[in-house]
Amino acid sequence: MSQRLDDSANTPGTPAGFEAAREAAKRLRRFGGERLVRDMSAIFVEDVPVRLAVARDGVGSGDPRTVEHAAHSMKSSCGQFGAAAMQRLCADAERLARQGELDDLPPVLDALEEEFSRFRAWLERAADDAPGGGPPGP
Amino acid sequence: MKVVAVVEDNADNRLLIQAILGDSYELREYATGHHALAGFERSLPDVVLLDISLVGMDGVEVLQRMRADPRMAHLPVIALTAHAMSGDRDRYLAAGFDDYVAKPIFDERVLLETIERLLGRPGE
Repeated sequence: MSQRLDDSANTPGTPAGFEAAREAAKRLRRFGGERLVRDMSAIFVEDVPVRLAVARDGVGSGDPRTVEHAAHSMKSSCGQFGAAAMQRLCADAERLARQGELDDLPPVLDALEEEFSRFRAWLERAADDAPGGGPPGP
Repeated sequence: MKVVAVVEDNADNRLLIQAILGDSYELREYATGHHALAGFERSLPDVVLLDISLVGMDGVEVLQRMRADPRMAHLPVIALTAHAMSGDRDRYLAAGFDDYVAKPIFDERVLLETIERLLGRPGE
């Protein structure tokens, strides 16, 4: 039986804690069907590592505005996807950057990267099980 | 078909807005404020969705430049922001935006009704 993003958490072995993501997937599907979920997932999976790298570069070069913007952009995308844990970490990173506390950012970005790995794995597993199948990324 | 300009640097958000508005409006998408202003000089949209947190020139500066240009000063502009803090709406209206929609977009009707309200208002 095929699975969809919003019920994949019932699959044995699927990580718990993605309730907001399941609701977000339902909402996105209402806006634009399975194709929108797939296309937005592909962009998300491609963009987050880029924005994380930009944020790390900003920390390295002492540029809090760059870090703040990268964190804010990721926060926006995470909110749309219901990636709640990532969204909280992005908000933390954005706040620290706004306050100029760059020394405190590396552990937050590390945690964000770790959480992204979990979320990406969930997205990809759910997409593999979705009608039409196939991973969300290129 | 009325033209909606979407000024938003997140590709996923542009895709989402396209899914919500694409059947009802002609969309013109811009990833930066500079590109948007250059596009408006060539052809004016009927309404603008303007992200606040753009790289380089942010949304407030884009709006200020629009309001200072007689050709585009009258365009209705909706602020799009993920800041979503208390008092945001009043702050953005005071800055000269015509309305405000918070991201993430949970209810497509909020966006659709905001655009319809601005397009339906009497011209000045």
